[in-house]
Amino acid sequence: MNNIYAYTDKKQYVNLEGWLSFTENASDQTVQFRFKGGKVINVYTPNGVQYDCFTEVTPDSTNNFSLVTEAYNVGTSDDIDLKTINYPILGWRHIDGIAYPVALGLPCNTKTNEIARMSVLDKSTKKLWRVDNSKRFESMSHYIDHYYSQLERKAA
Amino acid sequence: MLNQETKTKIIIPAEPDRYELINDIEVNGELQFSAHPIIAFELSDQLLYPIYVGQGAFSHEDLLLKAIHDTKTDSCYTVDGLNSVTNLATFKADLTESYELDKNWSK
Repeated sequence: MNNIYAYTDKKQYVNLEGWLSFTENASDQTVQFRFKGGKVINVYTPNGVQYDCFTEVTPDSTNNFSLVTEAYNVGTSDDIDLKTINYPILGWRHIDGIAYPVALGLPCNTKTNEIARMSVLDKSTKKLWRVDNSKRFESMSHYIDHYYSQLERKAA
Repeated sequence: MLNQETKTKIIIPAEPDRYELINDIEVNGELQFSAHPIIAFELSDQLLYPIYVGQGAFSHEDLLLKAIHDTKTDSCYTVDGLNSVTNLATFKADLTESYELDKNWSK
């Protein structure tokens, strides 16, 4: 990464080259970058700018994974409709120990923290896990049951 | 605010024959479709722009509303990521219906 400048909360432009990791604070609309030696800077991102685009992409050479999201509409508790959408994964971004998919068909304004809550389907084992590794699902039906029960709780 | 410089990246799909760009063109008052093999994607501004074989040089802006057809699953995704449909026939039917409505509206 060469000469990527960000405007910080100290009202200065800082070169982000060499950052080690970052943490997004969605409610404050800020991103905290950490550097070697412990330097920390806070960057204000009022428009949800995709700071993760600064990281390299590793093309997926396996074609073994899909990004899965659930799409649903909730009317009454009797007509909850849950569907899934599969997006082909063409590459990966490795940030803070998490592999974020680069998937075909995702809108450009999909934020990193939104991708973190989506799931990856391993087509060879049929198992799924959330991108942020916080949940694993043994099968697509397990995945659907999980989100369906969440929907039912919300609708109740 | 972050400088919006982005890293452009060319990604070659693991399955080279899997994706095609669907182009629509008006011929004698009818909407016709053609499919162009996609040999790679250009990652720019968080979107995957197809690099395809065939006639017509489209700008990124032109490409935004065009569809990428996943021939393996038959799914279609517009390049801007705002629309996805489960099969190519539905995508063509939806686009043709919009085209006919626009045509009738302008009469």
